[in-house]
Amino acid sequence: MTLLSMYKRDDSRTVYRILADQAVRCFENPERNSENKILFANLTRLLERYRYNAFSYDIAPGILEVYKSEQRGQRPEYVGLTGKTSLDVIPALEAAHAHVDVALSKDDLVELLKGVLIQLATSEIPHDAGSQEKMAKARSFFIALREGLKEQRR
Amino acid sequence: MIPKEFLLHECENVRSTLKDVLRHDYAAGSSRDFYNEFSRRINSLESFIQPVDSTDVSALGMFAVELSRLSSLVHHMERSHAGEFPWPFTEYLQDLATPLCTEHLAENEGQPIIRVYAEGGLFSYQINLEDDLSVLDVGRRIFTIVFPRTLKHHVLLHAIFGHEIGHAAWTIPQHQSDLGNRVLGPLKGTGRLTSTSEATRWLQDANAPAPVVDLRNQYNQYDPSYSQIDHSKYELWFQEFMCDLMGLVTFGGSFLAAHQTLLLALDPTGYQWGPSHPPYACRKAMLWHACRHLNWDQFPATVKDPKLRADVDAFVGSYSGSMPPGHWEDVFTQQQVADAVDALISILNGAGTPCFVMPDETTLLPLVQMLDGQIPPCGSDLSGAEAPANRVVDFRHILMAGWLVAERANRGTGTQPDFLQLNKLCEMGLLQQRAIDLCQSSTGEVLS
Repeated sequence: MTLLSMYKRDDSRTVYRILADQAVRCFENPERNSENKILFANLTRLLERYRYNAFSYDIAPGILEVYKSEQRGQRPEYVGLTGKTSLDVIPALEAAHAHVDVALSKDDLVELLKGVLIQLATSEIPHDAGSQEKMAKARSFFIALREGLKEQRR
Repeated sequence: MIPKEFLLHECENVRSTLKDVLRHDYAAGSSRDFYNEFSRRINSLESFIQPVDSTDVSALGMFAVELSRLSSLVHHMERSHAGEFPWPFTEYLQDLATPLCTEHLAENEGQPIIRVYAEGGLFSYQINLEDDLSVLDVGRRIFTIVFPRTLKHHVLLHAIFGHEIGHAAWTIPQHQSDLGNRVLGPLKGTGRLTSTSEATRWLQDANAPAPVVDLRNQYNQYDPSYSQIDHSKYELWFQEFMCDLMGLVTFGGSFLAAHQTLLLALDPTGYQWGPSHPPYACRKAMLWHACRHLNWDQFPATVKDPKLRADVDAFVGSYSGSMPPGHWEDVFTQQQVADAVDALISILNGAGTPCFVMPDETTLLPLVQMLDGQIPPCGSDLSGAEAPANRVVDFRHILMAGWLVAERANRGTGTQPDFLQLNKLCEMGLLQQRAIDLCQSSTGEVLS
């Protein structure tokens, strides 16, 4: 017997609450360092999934696991797995999208956010009105995402 | 010790284990990348834990899972040192998988780090992909390839990893969208698997082959969902179909042979199914259509050397199949599979992953002859010339040559090395070929 058995939780809500919170702080105090680049890479992964609706099964079965389902039980990542995970992040993303600009397509929204994150991580943000507007939208998106994930936890 | 204190202590333990792991010799390539990524992750996790409120139980619980994951990862790396796996094969696999699995996050980012280790049990072939959104902090994803320890020299069977490339590609959102629409779209569009209800009707067909009826009778009494295809099973089965096509177009003939050898060894009936895998018989039927679409059934007719032609003929007959599939398992039409294969090749070309091209006789014959002489098959010039004219050979052609010779044992013709020896010869051939490739890439010399 293992020391402890638990149903596998979906921690994606907590993960992205923390990451969105960090992103908001970066908007308030921009610092161009490698840690922020990694933070933005993690957020971009989430955004790409949102763009392509790619929230499907997280764990690929081994090709020869066809006939031996108990093997799955031995793999720690399978413990308690009941199908789709990360689904509770999607409503928070949708709400944040609607909060920013419901008329923007997913493609345009994600491109806007990726563009701002790259700029924030690598260069000065230009002071022109267009750039500042994009910056404000991105900040507003991540605040809404953070809040949405908090609400989901209650 | 409160949970937060313990987690910080365990961060130190994991960091110390990482240093300990470095005592091993690792294969050339990604060790430094792994070390840098792992060090960054553990430092980052520690910086997340330091300021957290000791009463924030959800964050602390998530950090514990994350720390445990890092502990598992570093342990796997400890078992991936040189000598424990066929590294030339792995480097070739990496060459195929990396362009397809590079994330488009920002410029110069997103290439996965690929590591390998061996596990006990025949079922252990898999790639762990770090595709879980619950993971807190991933700079570069670490793909961990796992293969059965007892088969470490069996490079001919490792062609099965072509299937796993499909799962890896599925984790890239844009590819998932393309593969879902353009490859699975045609497969789901018509026929007997157009919906969960149609698929369930097919699985419960009263005229199904006898092994299927037996399986239903055997399992339904314990699990009524056994013969039902719900949404989860439906989607996972189709992902497996896509991955089989991926294996075929990336590894070619050697994938067909490895697929059949391994899957039929574990299920000699060929009709068992599981919650995530369709029956082998249906997968083979789909591959039969795909081979026809790629004109591989015409390949033997292009070979002039009579001995090689007999080898190729037997190989195609054994692994592609000379007879059309049975009615029940033939769930896709020729056109459906053709459309799916064409779309897959287009996606791979777009990503920069080279598809398998059937070798011509001038490539294949020397490789088979080298194996006949118990010489590792590769593009080495063995003439003894002062300036050897080594040739570039696609590693997948080396694997195919190995399978052609292995297949002779089934026909009882000739005297060839046993299967393990053949694998070791091919493994050595890959090693030498890799050296030729590296020489070419470092000198820019054109070798063929």
